[in-house]
Amino acid sequence: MYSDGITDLAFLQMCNLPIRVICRANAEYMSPSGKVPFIHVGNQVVSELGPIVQFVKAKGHSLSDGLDEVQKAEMKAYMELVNNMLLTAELYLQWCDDVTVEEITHPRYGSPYPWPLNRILSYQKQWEVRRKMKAIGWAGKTLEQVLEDVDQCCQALSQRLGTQPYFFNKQPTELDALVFGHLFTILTTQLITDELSEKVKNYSNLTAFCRRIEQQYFEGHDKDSCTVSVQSSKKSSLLK
Amino acid sequence: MGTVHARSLEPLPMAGPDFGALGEETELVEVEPETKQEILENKDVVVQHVHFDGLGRTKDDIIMYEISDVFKAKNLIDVMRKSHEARERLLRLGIFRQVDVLIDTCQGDDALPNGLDVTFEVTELRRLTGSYNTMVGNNEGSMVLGLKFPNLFGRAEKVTFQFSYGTKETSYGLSFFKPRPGNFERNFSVNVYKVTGQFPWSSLRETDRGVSTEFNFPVWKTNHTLKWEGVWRELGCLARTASFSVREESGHSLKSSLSHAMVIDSRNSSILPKRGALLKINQELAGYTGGDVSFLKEDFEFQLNKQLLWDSVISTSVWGGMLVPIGDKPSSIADRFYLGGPTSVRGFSMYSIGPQSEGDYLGGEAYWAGGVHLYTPLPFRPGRGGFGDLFRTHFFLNAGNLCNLNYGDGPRAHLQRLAECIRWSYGAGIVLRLGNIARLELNYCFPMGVQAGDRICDGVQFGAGIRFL
Repeated sequence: MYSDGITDLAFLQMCNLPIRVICRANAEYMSPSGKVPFIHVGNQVVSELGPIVQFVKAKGHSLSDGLDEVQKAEMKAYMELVNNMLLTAELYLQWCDDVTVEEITHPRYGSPYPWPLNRILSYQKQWEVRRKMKAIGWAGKTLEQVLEDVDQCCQALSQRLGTQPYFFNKQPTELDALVFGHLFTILTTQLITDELSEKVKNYSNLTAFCRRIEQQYFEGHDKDSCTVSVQSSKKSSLLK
Repeated sequence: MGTVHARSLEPLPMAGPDFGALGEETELVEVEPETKQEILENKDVVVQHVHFDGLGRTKDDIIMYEISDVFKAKNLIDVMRKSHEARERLLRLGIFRQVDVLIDTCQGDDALPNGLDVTFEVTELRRLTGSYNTMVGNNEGSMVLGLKFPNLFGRAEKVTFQFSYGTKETSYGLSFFKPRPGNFERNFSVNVYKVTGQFPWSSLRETDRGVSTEFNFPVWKTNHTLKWEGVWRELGCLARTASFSVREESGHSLKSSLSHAMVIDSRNSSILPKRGALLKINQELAGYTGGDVSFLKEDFEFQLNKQLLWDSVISTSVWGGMLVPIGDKPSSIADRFYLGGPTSVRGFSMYSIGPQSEGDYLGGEAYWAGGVHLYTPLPFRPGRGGFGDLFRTHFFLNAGNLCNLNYGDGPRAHLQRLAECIRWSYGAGIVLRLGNIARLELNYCFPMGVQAGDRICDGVQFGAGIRFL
């Protein structure tokens, strides 16, 4: 799932920065930290949301300038929640649920490579993700428990959002980009079952939020100088 | 009849038991005085038996092939010569630690008056030999373990295993070698390996895990090698400051290639030869047996040596190569050619000629390089006859070019591109020969024809290696 890619894309769109997206099979290896996506500006390469936000801030663009200290702390807390819950749930579903792994993840992850490299690399990645899951204690969880956690996270987000257009009322912030990235991915990526996306669809304000951001920032925009590289994966329809 | 013990053979003087000056390498040959002197070379003999002492696990059939010629000897000198050749061939198999030859008259009931018995006393190598070293190099220490099983199944099969565990990288290699009984030059080997390399001139790190199998066979005077190789290559950046062109090449790829090499070598030595020529032509076709890298690569090396007056040698060498990617994927940095350095065009830094991006050298798809060298003994010949003979003074002129070709243009355009912007250098220095494998050079170089982007090393340059331009 390319939730991180959508997040960064959304963030940069919200900052009104011109961007160009390039898909490369080896983006993961090109990145200096091993994580996608990363941005290439001039001769600098920056990866992951945190450093990208810092980098963009240093250039004079920021989305969270209008917030006071309390709100900034709250935003950080929600971002942590999303990262801990939604991101880990996505990884769990992709790599620890045997049916999904076999039918969707292995073919997708190995698709740019010839046999036997496709098998070797996807097993290597799977082993790495499972090791990480064990380290954070998620290895013992069942699919139901994971879906429960996702539900709770969505409930918290839905309550915070309420009827506002964005999480901090009128203007979008990094939190909006992050939540949009994850929810959009969950809603649009095809998996074996629809249970994960059903959990999100239960909260109508979240789905409305996603559609709103999609319409505002992803239809009709300029493409220019800096590039965002996103790991190649099976493309799903942008409109749903 | 006297008894003759022979350890090794050099041309022997024929005049009976009175020996003139012997060659330095001949070991003592004793012939007990006889009452009747016979001219050895005119006496007809028949080799009746060949005995082997000390065979353990070695199988008989491969031994028979190596010594079959001994039976064809017609006179005593012939017997000694053929036994010597058989001894050399047995040692070449790599399964014996020592081989001694004993020639005696035949005893026993069926002995002919001119019958001879030849006995080979051999000591086989142990089943397993090992070595353990520690190595320290470029900011890295490593421990190297080597294991060798010579003569595994009795027909000179050899299995070697080497494992290197270092602070930064680990690598290993396992290889199985089998010669054809009776024809050692025909052999095949299978290798499995993992090697890692760091290339600071390109800010690139490469890890190769692969399997290869190769067949060697001689055809008339040439030696051919056919090889299939499957390699999983992983490229990465060596530093955060690597250029984006190198960063783009990071990742995994699989190369499956067939290659053929032909070698004709008539030189008297591979390091500092005095005469003879070498021609090596190598081609590699990748992509048709799997993998995602597809290209055709041609590579050749030519060297000619001629001895001149006063122990000096003039040597010319030419190298060249071309890489043609097949399909629309561009070539990978790991397949391209590199030029420059103390073992190639001297006066330039290691592999620092040609296309580059922000200081990282990307290699090129076509290159040529040539050198003319004059080797003379050291002035005033110090240490003559001993240590001084390992050194040579050396005057050289090197030239070369490395670039990417636009394959849509014709051969005229290619030649034109390779002929423009030639880098060349001249200079002099000292060469030290290390055994029969390697050489060290210390040169003073003047690089010329330097293009923007090349990195030079003018002045003193030191080089160590096996293959020099």
